[in-house]
Amino acid sequence: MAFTATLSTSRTNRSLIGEWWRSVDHITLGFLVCLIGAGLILGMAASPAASARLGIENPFYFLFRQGLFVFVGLIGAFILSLMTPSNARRIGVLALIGSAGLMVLLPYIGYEVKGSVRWFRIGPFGLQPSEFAKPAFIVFAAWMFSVRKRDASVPAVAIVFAAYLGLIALLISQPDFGQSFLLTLCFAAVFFFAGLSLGWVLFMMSISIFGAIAAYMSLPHVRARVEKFMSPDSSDTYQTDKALEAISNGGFFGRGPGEGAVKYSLPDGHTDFIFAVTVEEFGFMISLLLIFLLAGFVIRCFRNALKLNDYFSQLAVAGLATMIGMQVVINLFVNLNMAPSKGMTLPFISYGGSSMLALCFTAGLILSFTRKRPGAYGYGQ
Amino acid sequence: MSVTPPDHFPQARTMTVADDEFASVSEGRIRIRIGAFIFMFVLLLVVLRLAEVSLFGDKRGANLLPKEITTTRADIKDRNGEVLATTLSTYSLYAEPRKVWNVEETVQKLISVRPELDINVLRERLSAKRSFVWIERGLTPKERQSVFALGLPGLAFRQEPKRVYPRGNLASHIAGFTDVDLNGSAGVERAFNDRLAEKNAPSLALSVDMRVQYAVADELQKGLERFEALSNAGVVLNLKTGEIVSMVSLPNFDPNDPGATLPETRFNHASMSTYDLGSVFKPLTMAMALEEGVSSLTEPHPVQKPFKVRDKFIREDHPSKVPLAMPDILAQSSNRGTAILALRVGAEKQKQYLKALGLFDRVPFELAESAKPQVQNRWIDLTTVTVSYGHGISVTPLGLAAAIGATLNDGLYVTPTLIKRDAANAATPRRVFSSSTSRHTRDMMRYVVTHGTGKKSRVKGYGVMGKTGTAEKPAMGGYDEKRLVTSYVAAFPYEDPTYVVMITYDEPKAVEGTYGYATAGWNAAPTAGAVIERIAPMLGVQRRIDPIAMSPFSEEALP
Repeated sequence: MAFTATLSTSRTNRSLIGEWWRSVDHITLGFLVCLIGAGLILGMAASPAASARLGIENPFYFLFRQGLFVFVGLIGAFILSLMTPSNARRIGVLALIGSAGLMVLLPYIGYEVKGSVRWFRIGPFGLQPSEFAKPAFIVFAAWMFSVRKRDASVPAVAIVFAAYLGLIALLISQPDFGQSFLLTLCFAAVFFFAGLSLGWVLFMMSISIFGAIAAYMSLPHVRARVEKFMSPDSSDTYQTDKALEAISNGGFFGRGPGEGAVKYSLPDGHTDFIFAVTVEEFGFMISLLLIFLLAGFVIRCFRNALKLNDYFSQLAVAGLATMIGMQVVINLFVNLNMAPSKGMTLPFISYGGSSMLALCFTAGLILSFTRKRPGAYGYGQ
Repeated sequence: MSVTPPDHFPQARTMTVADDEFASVSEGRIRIRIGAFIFMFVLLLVVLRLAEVSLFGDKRGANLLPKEITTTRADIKDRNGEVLATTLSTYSLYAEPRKVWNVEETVQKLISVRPELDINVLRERLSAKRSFVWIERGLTPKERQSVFALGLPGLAFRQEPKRVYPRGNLASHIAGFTDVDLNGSAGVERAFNDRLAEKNAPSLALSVDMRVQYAVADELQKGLERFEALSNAGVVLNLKTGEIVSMVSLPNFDPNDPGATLPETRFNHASMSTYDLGSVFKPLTMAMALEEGVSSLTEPHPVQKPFKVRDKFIREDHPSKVPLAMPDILAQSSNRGTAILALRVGAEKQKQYLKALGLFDRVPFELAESAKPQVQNRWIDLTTVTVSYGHGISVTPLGLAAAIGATLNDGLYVTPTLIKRDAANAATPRRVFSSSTSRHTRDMMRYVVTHGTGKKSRVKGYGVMGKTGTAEKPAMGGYDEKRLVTSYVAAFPYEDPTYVVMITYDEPKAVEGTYGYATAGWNAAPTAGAVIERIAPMLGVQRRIDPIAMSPFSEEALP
């Protein structure tokens, strides 16, 4: 360990950067950089089509913007990963308070897109605070559960539930059923990892199912989407049809970079359906590599969570990895028409400022929690 | 959190925390493993599904280049290899209105490249709350490209094979047509559907000669217009082989767009309409009389006297003042003379001969469009009389042409065919009359043209033989004198009869130049002559420049 580390930095190099490089998990970092690089490359395929569809003159408009988000996001992630776990945790909790506050203010400062008020404007960019609320809430929940272990007198579960219900209320009011669903699943996962009794887990699951049914019954757009998925012949499944067409066109080797045809008629080809565009152009093999990168990142995080001694870090890393993993799975399910379509980006790949920044924020937290510290790993082994 | 216990906590307390934390962390490890396994399992499902869709899915639109036509259908050609029907790949433009982004923009752009589309219909279709509407079918690759280049969402193409008939109307009743799925619906397309639809089937060579077909159709069209007839039909039959060289029925239709035509134009009068054809039956009765030996060629028959069968007088269109022998009975088309001969032949023999000549059954050629003759069930002596001159029996022009062909073909009946004869499709002649009967009938039919009612069918140098037939159409309680079906059955050349030409007009009118007549001699006969004039050179029949023996019944000779 000392031997390899000296290749870049000496163990005696106590500078901030040197310390960071030595302690950060290189494999996680490697996966992150590869994923973001892959996202930019795939953006080259998807961006010109999206620009052409929307009548934007610069074909790489979306690519340049994404590049900017990546730049900002990576710097943010780096700064976060420099912090100690406890400071990172504090940042996470602050982010939860901040994003929740912004979500409360959304009806006044936000603007409406496709019937939902999810964004507010910073200069030429739209920011979606709910994207940041998800990882922040996971960190908060992990913290509360670890506090509960330490000190049973703190009503941790009640506090977490209150925060969860508050967030759900804010999301539903936007309305954003997809994020509520994801948040609930992540919460259930953290709950499960936190070793809470099976009764609690079942309770969470029944809440999710009840919530899903309630949403189906009361929210027309949710009902429409589910019905679309259940009976594809009767209604408009344009994006999913086009995505399937793109994927089936791809075959083993794809049609070649830039040769995709379906992306020009796939409105969300640069965001939610970037995977379909990828398969069409690069084929089954490269898509498999992309899935491998995404899975690798998540699995590496799980592995680190397994080895961490610190209960909070373990829960937080596993929870955050679950969030990214679920997003991957849901996005791929939608692309492959295995689930009804919902606005879910492919982590690190899809175009989207808030999504990219929030994921970099998540990655920064993970990197910070998994940094090698004396005694951090290998407890009891 | 730290392994090193804080100094201000008692040692025992620290150990408890460590144990608690250890237990929690261990429990968490198991559960995280479960989570990771679930994640990997779900991802495996994703990969399997990805493989299913990308590797084994149907490649919709995977290839922008025109694909091979999936449905093939063999060409139909005439006897010389000219294409009557072929299969081309066309593009059919459709829209999915729900996916059209901007209806007005789409309409305007489409109209700019496809100006023949109706703008209002187009707007209505694109605004429809439907998931599929046809816009235009059967586009050429160039037309498709022009629409494709617009890049409009919601528009797409389906590649469709289309049956194309390069000669359009010309052989519409022969070729027939297919439905949109390329299943034969009429004509050869229907009759040979299985043969044509076979994979890699060779093209089908018909017996038809399109040059002859054109000449016949052209002359019939002229006649149809000149005589203001409802319809007319023409058949040219090679009487030796039975090959139908031409079969025309007017009005006809364009098989490229069969749906756009009137149903009556799709009717093939040559083989589907049965008519009381009239005196064109008389050569058959003459042949029967000769074959049965009931009269010599020179025996005079009392045609000048009124003739009554079962209290009905047999009417004469061209009354003679003197008794006539057989050649003149035929040449002057004497009903009484024919009736006398028929009664001598007798009902049973007459029926046998008609049956042998194929006039009691549908013509057994390939097309389904072949009508069964209408024959009276009760065959009394009056039936024998009327049938002898072509009344009281309705047959198709094709059926009669085949029967006359047999009479002139050395007495051998050959089943007509639309397929070019070769070893596999050889004719199987059937003897009906003796050679001498055939020869004498030939002479008499020649005499009709030189001295009788068929003079207007004469064509110099080809030795045309023929017989007119004018029938009144059946009407309530009898016949309608005003509504005629006129026919002319001709054959040529005299020395070696090879081709039968049958022309039939339905309700021709007396027009300028016909002196008030609308009978066969004034319309069907000249049309037959005009047809022979044009087709004989195509069929390789040499025009004689020396005078042709008119017939044994006259000392004169005509050039």
